[in-house]
Amino acid sequence: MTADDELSAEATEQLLLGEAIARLSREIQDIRRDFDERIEYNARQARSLRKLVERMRLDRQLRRIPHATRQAIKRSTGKRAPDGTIGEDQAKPVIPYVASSKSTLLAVAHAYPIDESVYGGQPLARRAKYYRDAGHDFAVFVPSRDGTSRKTTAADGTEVVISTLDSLNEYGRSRGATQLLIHSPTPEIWSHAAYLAELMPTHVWMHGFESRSWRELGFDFTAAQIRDRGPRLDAYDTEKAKVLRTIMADPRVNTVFVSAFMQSISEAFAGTAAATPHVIHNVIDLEAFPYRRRTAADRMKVAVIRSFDKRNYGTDLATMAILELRKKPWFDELAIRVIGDGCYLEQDTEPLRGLANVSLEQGFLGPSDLSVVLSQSGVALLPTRWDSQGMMIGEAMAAGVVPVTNAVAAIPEFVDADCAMLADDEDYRGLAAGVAELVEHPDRYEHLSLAAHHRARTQCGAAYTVERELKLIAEAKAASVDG
Amino acid sequence: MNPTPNERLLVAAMAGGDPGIKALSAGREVDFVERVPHEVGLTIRHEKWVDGVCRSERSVRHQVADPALFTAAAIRLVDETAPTTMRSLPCLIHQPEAAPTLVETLVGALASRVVLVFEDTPYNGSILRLENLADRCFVPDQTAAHRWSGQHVVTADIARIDEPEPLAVLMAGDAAADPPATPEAHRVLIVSYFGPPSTLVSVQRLSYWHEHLAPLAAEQGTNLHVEWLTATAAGRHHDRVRTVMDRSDNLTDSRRAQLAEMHSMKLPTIGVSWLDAAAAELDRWTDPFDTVIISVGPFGYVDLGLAVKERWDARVIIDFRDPYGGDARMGFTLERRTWANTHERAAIEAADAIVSVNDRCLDVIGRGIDIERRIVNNGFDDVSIDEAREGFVNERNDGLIRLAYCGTIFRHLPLDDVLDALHATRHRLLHAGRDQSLSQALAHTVVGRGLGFITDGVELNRILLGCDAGIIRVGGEATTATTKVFDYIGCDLDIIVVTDGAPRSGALHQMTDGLEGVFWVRNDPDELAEFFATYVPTQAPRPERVSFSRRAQTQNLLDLILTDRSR
Repeated sequence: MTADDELSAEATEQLLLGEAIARLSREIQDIRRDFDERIEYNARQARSLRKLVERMRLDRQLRRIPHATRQAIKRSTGKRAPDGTIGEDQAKPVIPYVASSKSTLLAVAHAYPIDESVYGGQPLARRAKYYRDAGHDFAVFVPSRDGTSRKTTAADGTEVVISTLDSLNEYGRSRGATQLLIHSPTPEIWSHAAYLAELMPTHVWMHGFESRSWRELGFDFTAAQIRDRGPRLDAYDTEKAKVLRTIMADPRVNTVFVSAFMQSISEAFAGTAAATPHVIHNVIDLEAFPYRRRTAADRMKVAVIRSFDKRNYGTDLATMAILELRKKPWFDELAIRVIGDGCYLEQDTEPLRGLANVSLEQGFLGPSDLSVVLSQSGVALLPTRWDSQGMMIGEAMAAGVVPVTNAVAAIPEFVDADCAMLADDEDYRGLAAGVAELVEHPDRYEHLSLAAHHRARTQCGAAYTVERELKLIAEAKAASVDG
Repeated sequence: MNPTPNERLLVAAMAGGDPGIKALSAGREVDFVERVPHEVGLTIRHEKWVDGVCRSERSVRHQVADPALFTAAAIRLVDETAPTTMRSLPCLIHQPEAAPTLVETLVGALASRVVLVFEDTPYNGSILRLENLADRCFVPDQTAAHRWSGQHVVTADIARIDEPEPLAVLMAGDAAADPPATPEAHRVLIVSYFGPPSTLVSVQRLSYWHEHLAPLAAEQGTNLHVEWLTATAAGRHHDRVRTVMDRSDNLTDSRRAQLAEMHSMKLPTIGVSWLDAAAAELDRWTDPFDTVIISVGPFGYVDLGLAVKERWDARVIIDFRDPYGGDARMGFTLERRTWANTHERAAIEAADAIVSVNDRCLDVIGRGIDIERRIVNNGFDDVSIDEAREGFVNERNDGLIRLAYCGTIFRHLPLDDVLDALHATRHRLLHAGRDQSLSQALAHTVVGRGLGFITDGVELNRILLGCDAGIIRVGGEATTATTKVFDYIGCDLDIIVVTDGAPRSGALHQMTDGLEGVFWVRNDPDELAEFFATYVPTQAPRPERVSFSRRAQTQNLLDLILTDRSR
């Protein structure tokens, strides 16, 4: 019977019902066959696992060790453990906590500059002298990355302990810390620091990586890294967000964001608003980066000081901006210094090799060297794809160097057209145009130089930053005394 | 009472709930069928509404959610209130995605035409059939429309069930007319499951033939008339396109055994149930066709040629856009491959010629059968490229080498190593299409830019014209030769083939061998890094370019069509 336009409802119904019965019968057979196959498969799996378990039995594993080796082990260890080596008698006692009589601030951070040549950890180091000048004792705990432990004194006199996190609690107690300052809390840090946080006022700083998704700076990863590590990084994001929620939701914890932008990012990531938020920028040390009045001639001295290790520093944009500037008739009059190091150094600087007025200097600058370079420069070409504050931009501005950068992330919170040259996201042509504007309008350049210094001083000077942190610390101390 | 089709319709709510039936029934008679799922089985509710008033209500409970049972029960409930002629009711289906297999059978039995109103946009084989047989599909908002365009083969408009447009589209349906008589012409019929306005690449190929075969023949003094028969219901709004609905596997009595066999071997069955409907449609037409081109992939109707020969003794050309049994990508078991090869053989033995896109495919199709074989490539759309070139100015002066990748980045053929080999200061990779890779790295890398799914061919060609090279990503299979290579040739781009197999091998190499500006590189990080560190675009013109155009390829097909007339 073929399908027919004039097929009656009854005939159609019979056709459909017949087909339904046939199909259901086939399905039942399929299901039965499927069950049989699964039973057989499961039985095979069970047999295989049973064999595996048998092989894992300790006595069978021991039997597989060569006889001579077994004898040697027996001789060296004897038949019983020596007295007192295991058991309750050997458990370490909990160190009782007694707060120091002097205000002792214990900072937990991922890095601290042990000597002056290192830039890492500077945001915390810049605070140290202000804390000490205010009468606080200040110590730093840095989680060890290689499992080793040591205590040292940094060049600025700060006691620095580098050790595994399981010794944080012990160190904090033995040191008699009175307040806990955690910079960039990660799940690992918080799992140990939370015990200390119960004992003393705690302040937490959100700088960037600890309170955003890794995908926010996905461009810092290669495609292979994203493919291989993406799922694990996503899982870690979940952990991070969970810990941040715990921290931020606690009204006893002062949550300090280095910018309003960072606050919005962190709270969105954590999925909660901070119970006790503060926006306090990182301090820019005006003494370390002293202001020098710039003349028109300084505008021809351009410095590019960047890490070439991560794409968020935009070193490719810097190169493309310089290549764009080559179209200008005055390009050869510029003196451009490109300083930095990292995995993209070769790739990003290759187009610049051979340019007579571009010097390429491989290496990282410590704070004092950075200060020298900035003092010799007039313009800082500092592209960026993401920044929670832009410390280097602020330090350049403090010195009177006019920054040329991208108006992305937190940057517009710290610069505007009155004190810098701003380009759009990914806009290397805009960066080049910024430099060109400064070159072609020397009066404007001089005005921006002064304005940049003024902005850095009034926004990120000590009075507006670390002094506010000290106030928080003082209030927390008073509250804990009253409580 | 036996109402005329325009006054009566069926509205089905496949996820339950009231789709605004009172308003839908204003001025007409509506059979409202509601599917209410339970943990085990379902309830089918039927309400008869006339002019905004509910006249009756009944329901029936089934323990088994079987498509045929569902449809049989629905028919009985509908018929009890007023007799229904099968395939005579316009059907408005709300949330077909909730039970697409039930909908297939329901509309297969009852519908004269169908409009689907989705709330969500999942994609599977059943929904593919449904959207193909529907006059129109609707999604609720722009976000859903964007998701829809990424996977589905027909376009969807935006409207909700309680808005007037879906009903208006359904009730505006017009009757299909028979193909006009053109006794002086050589009459050609193209048959394919998917037709316009589907967005599939295969439809673009056939659309070009449909539009340009006759004018091409006219240039050579031959009067050609070309029609198209397809299962894509919306195609009937196009000139010279006839449609016949695929009424689902459950309603094809004569193919039951074949379908059972194919299901048991897990072979794709799409098109099998359509074959008899297509043959019955051919029976209705009074004037025969001289040449019938059966374009396959899907393969369920590959043996339609047997029916064509019985009716008209026409010349039958089977267009294999991909191999069937011999396709290495299908992963057939030996049993399935044997069945597919037998099916393919029977179809080819009833045909007069086969065409495919390259020699490698022709070699594996119908092995050992003595039949005329021709290559008819997809070619680049010369009309679209010419339009894109008009007024196009290449404004680039940044020194960057622009690479293009058109189409889907497949999970098993990612571009991760290519992205990592590119330099941020020298290269940019533009991607138009979907990214199904695990890493989705293109969204993060500074060298890449995703442009999304671009349906406008002219817009896409303008993007390509602004690039230096096109990338092709292949797994190394001998028969693979992607359509995008023609677009790249048409836009005078270098072609960079990144392969998991041996460079310069297979159908793609056969096609491009001897062409300037074709580069092969293994998908290896070191080899890719070395290649892109030194790659400079050739910008070399290709004198053979015109032979890769769709027009030139269509001429090949025309020569094959007209060859028989000269005998």
